[in-house]
Amino acid sequence: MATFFLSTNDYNSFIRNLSAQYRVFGLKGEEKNFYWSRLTAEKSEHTPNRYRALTPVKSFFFPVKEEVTAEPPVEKTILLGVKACDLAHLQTTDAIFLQGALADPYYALKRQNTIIISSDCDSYIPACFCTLMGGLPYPTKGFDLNLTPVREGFLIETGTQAGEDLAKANTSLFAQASRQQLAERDNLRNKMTELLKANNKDFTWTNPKDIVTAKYASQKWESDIAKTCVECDACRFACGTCYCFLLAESKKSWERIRSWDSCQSEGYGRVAGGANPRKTKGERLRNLYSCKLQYRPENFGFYACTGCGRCIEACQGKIDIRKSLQKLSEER
Amino acid sequence: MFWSPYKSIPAKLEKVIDETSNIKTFVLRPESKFRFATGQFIELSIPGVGEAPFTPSSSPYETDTIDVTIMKAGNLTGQLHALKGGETLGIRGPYGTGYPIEKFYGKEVLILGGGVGMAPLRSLLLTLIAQKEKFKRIILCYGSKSPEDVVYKHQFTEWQKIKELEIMRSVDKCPIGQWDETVGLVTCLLDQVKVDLKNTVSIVCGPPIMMKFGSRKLLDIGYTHSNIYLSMEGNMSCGIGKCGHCQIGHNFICKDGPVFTYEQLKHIPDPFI
Repeated sequence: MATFFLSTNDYNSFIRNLSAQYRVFGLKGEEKNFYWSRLTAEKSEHTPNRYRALTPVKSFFFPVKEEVTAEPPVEKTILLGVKACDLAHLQTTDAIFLQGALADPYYALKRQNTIIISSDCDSYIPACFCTLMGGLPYPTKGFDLNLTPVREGFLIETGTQAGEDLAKANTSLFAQASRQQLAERDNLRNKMTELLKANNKDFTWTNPKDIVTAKYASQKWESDIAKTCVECDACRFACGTCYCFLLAESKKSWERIRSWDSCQSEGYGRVAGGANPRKTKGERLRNLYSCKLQYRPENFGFYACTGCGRCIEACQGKIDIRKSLQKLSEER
Repeated sequence: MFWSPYKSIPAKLEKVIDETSNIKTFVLRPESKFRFATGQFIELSIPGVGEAPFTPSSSPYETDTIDVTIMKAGNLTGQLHALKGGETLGIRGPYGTGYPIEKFYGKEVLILGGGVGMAPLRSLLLTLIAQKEKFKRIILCYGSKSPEDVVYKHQFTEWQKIKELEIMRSVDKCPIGQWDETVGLVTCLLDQVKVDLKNTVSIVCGPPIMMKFGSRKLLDIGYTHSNIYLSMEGNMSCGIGKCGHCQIGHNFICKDGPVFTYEQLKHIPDPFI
C-alpha cells in the first residue's frame, strides 16, 4: 500500500470530489465535542484530525433505531476522520454482526457500502486510554485510507483496494510523500503515544482479563464500583462496541424494529415470570466489564474495549473503568 | 432476493389445549414448510404485540403442525392464553443446537423434567419413542407441584403402556389418597433408579432451582459433566447470537445452546437464574 502527500488546498478539492459521488460524513466540532455531520461541496468545512467524535462510528452501521423486516435502502457513504479506537470497535461489531450462525443483513449492507477514511489523533482528552488497552492513537489497520496532518497538508496512506481506487481516481491531487514528511508523521505518532501514556500514568494494571476473571467474587463490585451508578444507561449508549439490541413489534403488523439496548437496565436479562440473572447494579456492572474484558476475548481473541473513554465522559456517577480496574487490581 | 432473519412467517393457531390451570398447548399450522430438530427453539409472536422464545413440544417428525406448550407467566403469555384458536400468529426459527440424539444411541437415557419443563422433553421423548430400539433404556422422571399440575395427562396414560419406557412421577405435595405415585421433590425419584453409569446420559429441563439441584444430584450419583445435558432458559430475542439478551458467560444460549452439557457451563459461577 502507498503513502501520498495532499496539500491543504488539494485536500479541499479531494473532499469536494468525494462529496459529488458519495454521502460524506466528517467531524464538526464545538470547542471540545465533535459530531458527525454531512459534508457537501458547498459546506465542506470539518475537523479531520483532533480526537474521536462523541458518537461512536458503529451508529452508521447499527443505528439507534431501525426497521429490520424490509429491505433497507443503502447509499454509498464515506466516513472521514474515524479514529483508531473507533476502527478497533468495528472488530467487535463486525465479529457479532457479520459472523456466527447468520450474518445480519442490515449491518452487512451498510458496512459493505461504506468507505472509511481514518485519521491520526493529534490531540486527546483526559478520558482517552487507548494505550492501556493495547491500542495506539493512530490507525494501523481497518481503514481504506488514513490521513495524518503534516505541514501544509496531509499524508494519505492507502489500506485497501477501495482506498487505492479512490487515490487513483484523484491521482492529479496526490504527490509523492517526502522522507521529511514521513519523519514528521513518525514524530507526531511518537509524541501522541507518549502523551497518552503520560495521561494514564496513574493506572498500573496491565491485564484486564485476568483482573475481572480473578475478581469475580469481589465485594467491591457492589460496595464500591457500581455504588454511584444511577442506571441511566448513558455509558452503554456511548460505547462503540455495545451491540445489544431490543427487538420490538412495530405498530404495523409483521414489521419489527430494533433499538439499542443496555445491559445496565434492570429488565435486560429478566425472563418471563420475573426471574433475573442480574438483579443488582453490582452484578450488572460486573457483567459489563466481564463482557468487554473476558467473554469477548474468549470468543474473538480481542478486547471489546478500545479505550475511547466515552463511557467515562458519559457517566453521571463518575465511574471510570480505569479506576475500577485499578481498585480491583489493588484489592488483596 | 433480500431476506431478513427477523421476519416471522404466519402460522395459524389451530387449537388450544388446556393442560393445567396455567399451562396450555397451542397447536400451530405454519403457512410454509417449517422443520426443526428436537430441542431447538422458535420465536413465537402475536403480531403487533410481542415475541418470545419457546421450544416446540411436538415431535419433529410431525411436519404439518407444531405444538408449543406455554405457561402463563407474563404479558405475552397472558395474551396467548386468552386466544381461542383461529388466529394467525408469527413464528421464526428454528434456532439453536437441539439434543444430540445420535450421541444417545445404545445408551441408557435418563430424562429429568419438572413442571412446564416437560414441554421440550415431550418433543425429545416422542423422538426417542419413534426409534426406541436404538436406546438401551429410556427412563423418564417427571415432577410437578401437584397432581393437577401434571402436563400431558392423557399422553402419560399412553406412554405408560409402552414397555420400553420406564416412567416415574412425583408431586411435591398432595392430599392423601389423590396420588398413588411418589410424593416429594423430583430429585428423590433418582434414588429409585439404578443406571449403568458407564453407559448413560441424562437430560434435564425444568425450573432453575430444579435444574440446579437436579444436576447436582446427578453428579452425586456419578454422572460425568459431559453426560448431563441441560436445556437452558434465557430471554432469547433475536435467536441468532446478535442481540445479547441471552448471554451467559461467553455463551449465547440462542446459538451455542439452548442445550448445553454441564461441562460447557461449569465455569460459570451461577448459570441457573
